[in-house]
Amino acid sequence: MKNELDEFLTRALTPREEPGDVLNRKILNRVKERVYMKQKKYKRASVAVIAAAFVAASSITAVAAWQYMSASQVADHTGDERLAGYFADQMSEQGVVTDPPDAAGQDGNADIVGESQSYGGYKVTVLGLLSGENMSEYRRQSNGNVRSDRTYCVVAIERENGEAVDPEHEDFFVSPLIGGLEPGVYNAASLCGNYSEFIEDGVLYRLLECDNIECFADRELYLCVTDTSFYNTGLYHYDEGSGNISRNMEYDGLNALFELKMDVSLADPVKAQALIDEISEPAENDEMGVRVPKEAEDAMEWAGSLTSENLERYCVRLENTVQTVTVNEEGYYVIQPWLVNEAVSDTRGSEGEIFNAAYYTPEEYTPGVPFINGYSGASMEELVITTFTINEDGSMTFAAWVPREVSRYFQ
Amino acid sequence: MTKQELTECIDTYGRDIYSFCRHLTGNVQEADELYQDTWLKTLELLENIDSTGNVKSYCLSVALRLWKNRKRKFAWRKRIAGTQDYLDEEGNEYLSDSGPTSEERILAEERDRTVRNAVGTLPEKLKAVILLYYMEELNIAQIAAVAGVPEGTVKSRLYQARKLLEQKLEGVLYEK
Repeated sequence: MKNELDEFLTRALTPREEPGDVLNRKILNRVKERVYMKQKKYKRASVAVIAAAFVAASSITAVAAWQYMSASQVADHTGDERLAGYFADQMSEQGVVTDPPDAAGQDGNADIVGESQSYGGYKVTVLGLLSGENMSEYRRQSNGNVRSDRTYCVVAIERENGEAVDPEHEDFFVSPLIGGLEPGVYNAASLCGNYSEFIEDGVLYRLLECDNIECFADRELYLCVTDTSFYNTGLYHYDEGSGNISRNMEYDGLNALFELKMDVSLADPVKAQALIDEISEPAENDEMGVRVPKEAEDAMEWAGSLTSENLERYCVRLENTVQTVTVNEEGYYVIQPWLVNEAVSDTRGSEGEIFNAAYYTPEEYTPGVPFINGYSGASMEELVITTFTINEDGSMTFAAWVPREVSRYFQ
Repeated sequence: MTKQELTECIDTYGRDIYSFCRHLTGNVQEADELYQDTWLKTLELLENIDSTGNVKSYCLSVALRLWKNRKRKFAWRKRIAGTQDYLDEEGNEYLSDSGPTSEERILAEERDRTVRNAVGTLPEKLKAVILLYYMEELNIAQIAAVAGVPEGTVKSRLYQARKLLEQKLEGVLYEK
């Protein structure tokens, strides 16, 4: 039987899938961009020191926040009216709306609002910073827990040369950092962060949220903004002795670092330690050194065991996501953007999906039987499975599903 | 590595790496991103990579690591990936296979699909080892290097994976 299995596996798994020409060209183009960026970002040390000294002296300014959308408008733009209200209240208290030039640095939690830093050809402006419980309309879940006690931060990122930021090709990482804690480990990603962003007049507005960092108010707190996808240890120096974090002056890209001045009375050592413990707890089966939440692995494994036959037994179809489409003139099924349920999960097919009808024939896919084409989610509570079904009349029905045990959230 | 060398590497190993990404991720959109990032990360890590060296193993190792990272990102930036032309290459390849009769071909296609689906349902770590062994034709030592685990772990995972597949594919195996 083993020989047969070997034979079947070898045949079935013979590499068949070719990367498309467009995909390969994209790689070459991105390599060219990277080479260019790298040359631009890293300079020889002696030059860098001079450049950094100049940049450091001239790059931090307080700007008039009214040049940009307000934090409230940004939150509103992302559909979070509740959070928009809190930001509006904050701005009103600080006089941002009525007296824009004095917006910067009014009080505790929002001390850096209106502050701007320019590095690597980008200018970053902090538009809002808030912390508290139940401030958002969206309920976030992570590691099996509802995270309602959050810190929200809004920044505007723009190119200094006036060109529009292109989020398709430019990555940014925005995160609070905590003095005394290794920034590569303790940042927005491990603080169960999430963000929404959009472009308006060439400026990228990002609304970041993560676990509430006020409990660390007795430490140095920072906000970093970089032109990378994740935290990059090469962009900042972490002094293990003092616990201080500082910019790597030799980096000529974007590595802004704002110092947050929070009211020390907000510190909560017990809560802070709980957060530290949660993050530092070693993930199971993690020999690659990457922290993967066990819930995510479990959810993926569970979803992987679903089949067309057992799907209905274990999952519930979300009727608001169901679409039945026919083949268009170009021979494609085009699924429109869909959204699971904003109040529960922001999982969505934001760009819709396109299926080449030539490959979705009744011969390949039994009519009437849902075929699982994808799933994602960091836990069972966030798991969403998508399916398509080829119908007898040649149309295709698309749907998103959730596990039955969590379907109550979607009722 | 020059642009020309990169082009040659992609020509030589692109199919192997891409197939690995497709089966590892289970869908096209994720696979495209993983494939792209794998090359970019490989270049970043080995700026002076010797293209005559074992580029394939290195890329597979990078792909595996990035995929683990990406799974962490589910919490960070969730979205559902599409499956645009998931079966394009398979469909084309089968059609061009003029050897066996059409009935035999259909049966073989069906069996292959069943086997691939069974592999797709394996836990991630077991799936990765099976793909590296059968798809990428790496030996135990090479897989250990790619996955960053001891050879004994690779053997154990291979054994477990085969056991699970034997159970899942019982019908297919006895059918023959």
